[in-house]
Amino acid sequence: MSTILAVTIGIVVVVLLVLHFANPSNKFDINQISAQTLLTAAINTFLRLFAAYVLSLVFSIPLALLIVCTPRVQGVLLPVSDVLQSIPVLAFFPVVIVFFTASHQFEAAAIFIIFIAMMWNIVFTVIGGLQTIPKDVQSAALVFNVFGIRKFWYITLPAIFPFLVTGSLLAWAQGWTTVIVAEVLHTYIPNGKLSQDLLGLGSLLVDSSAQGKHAVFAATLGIMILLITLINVLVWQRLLHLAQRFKFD
Amino acid sequence: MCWSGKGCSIWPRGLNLTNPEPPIAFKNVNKTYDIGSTNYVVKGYTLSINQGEFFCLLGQSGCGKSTVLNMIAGIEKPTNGRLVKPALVGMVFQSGALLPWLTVEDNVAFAGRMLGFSKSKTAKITKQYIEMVHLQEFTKRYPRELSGGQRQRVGIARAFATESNVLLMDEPFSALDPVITDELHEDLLKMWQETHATIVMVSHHFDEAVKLADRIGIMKEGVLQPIMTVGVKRPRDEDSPDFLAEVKKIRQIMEG
Repeated sequence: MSTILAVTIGIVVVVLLVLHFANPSNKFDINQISAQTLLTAAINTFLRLFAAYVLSLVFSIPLALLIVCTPRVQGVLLPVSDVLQSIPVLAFFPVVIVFFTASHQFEAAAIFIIFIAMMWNIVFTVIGGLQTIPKDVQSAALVFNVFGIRKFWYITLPAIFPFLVTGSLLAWAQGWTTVIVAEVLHTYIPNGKLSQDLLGLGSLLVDSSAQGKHAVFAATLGIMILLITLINVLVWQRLLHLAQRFKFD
Repeated sequence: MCWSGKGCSIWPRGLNLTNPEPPIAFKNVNKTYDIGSTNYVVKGYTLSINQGEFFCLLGQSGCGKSTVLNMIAGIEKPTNGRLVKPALVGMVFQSGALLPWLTVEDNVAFAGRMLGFSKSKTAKITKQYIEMVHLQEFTKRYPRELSGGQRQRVGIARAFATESNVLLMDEPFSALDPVITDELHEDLLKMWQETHATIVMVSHHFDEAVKLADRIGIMKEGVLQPIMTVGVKRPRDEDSPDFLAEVKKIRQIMEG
């Protein structure tokens, strides 16, 4: 039952992602915000976070594996990663914006900045997870001829699952913080206009606050809290519970 | 004797009793680690372990006995010398090395799945070895729901489920209480006699070595002492004078 539910949710999210990026609905007027606009904003923000999260997973897990499994690389990449993750993501947002606005990829700019904010949480928790796999379990894998991709699938991925969940939880928390500014592009684009903002909960919060639209601000904040709570209860709490089964003693 | 009551043919371990070649043979094997200077962990190791034999490596912590076992398992490679070892071994680890996300049944089946056994063969041997270690009622439990002794039983079943003719055991009972250890000793001896497997076990308990092994190899600082053949008839009574004399002999070698 839970598998069917997860697959259904997955399909819905993928369809929404395709529809969103094929025909982005980012036009909005802060003076005319309807319930439908709020709903679209919530979906847009969620999809941006989701796309950034998927990118983070795809990038972070191989990077963490490379750092832990290759001692020579570890000596270089670990300190470099440590320095990079300590740079505030918004410090180089203007540079990112200049790069992406050259090709009018505003959506990509927002997702990229959320991805940068998310990924270090996953990289470092996965590194921690990889280092906790017991030596005996690694030896058992060797004895049972479990190498390469099979080792990753049957041993490594389940073993780091609890850490992946924790890292993802932190990444999404970071993502929610970053999305508020990532959608308000006009403040980073030279001579930017309000119309260059991406429709989302972040941009609605900032723009409604700036324009003194208190009702819109309150409604947006309420939807954001509701969305965060729903994701926490329906996804993270369940995954945290499931992760207990994957922990070594 | 076929103690399972289901016929001995259910464990076709590929055993060739007419083949006199020892499955494990070390000839002048060294294992060193470079830590500024060359440090010998195993030095000039020469040993043959016979087919169907129960061999125990005995020694204090850090004497190199686990390194010898790891070389047989292919986990570590000798620095030099000649080592003949089987392509496939079953191995029982001190910690059990079970996968916490798999049930008892799936942990035992893991070996067969990874070694490419068919589904039906994996299911059959999984069931058989779970029965051999008396865990039929715990097949759907996860390792965290088991006692230490039960976890080690799963580890033993998983090692036997590789269908390898050689089983390696790295201090498998050192973290268990004496009562559970005695039970596991009995079960292990039955499984060994049933399957004719060659077992190499690492231990630091003198009485455990005398109770289980045909021969004992005592190691001191990476060097193998003269091999000792246990001259006590099976089943072995730990309180018998012969048994106690063997234990005393080991103590003298260790302290000498």
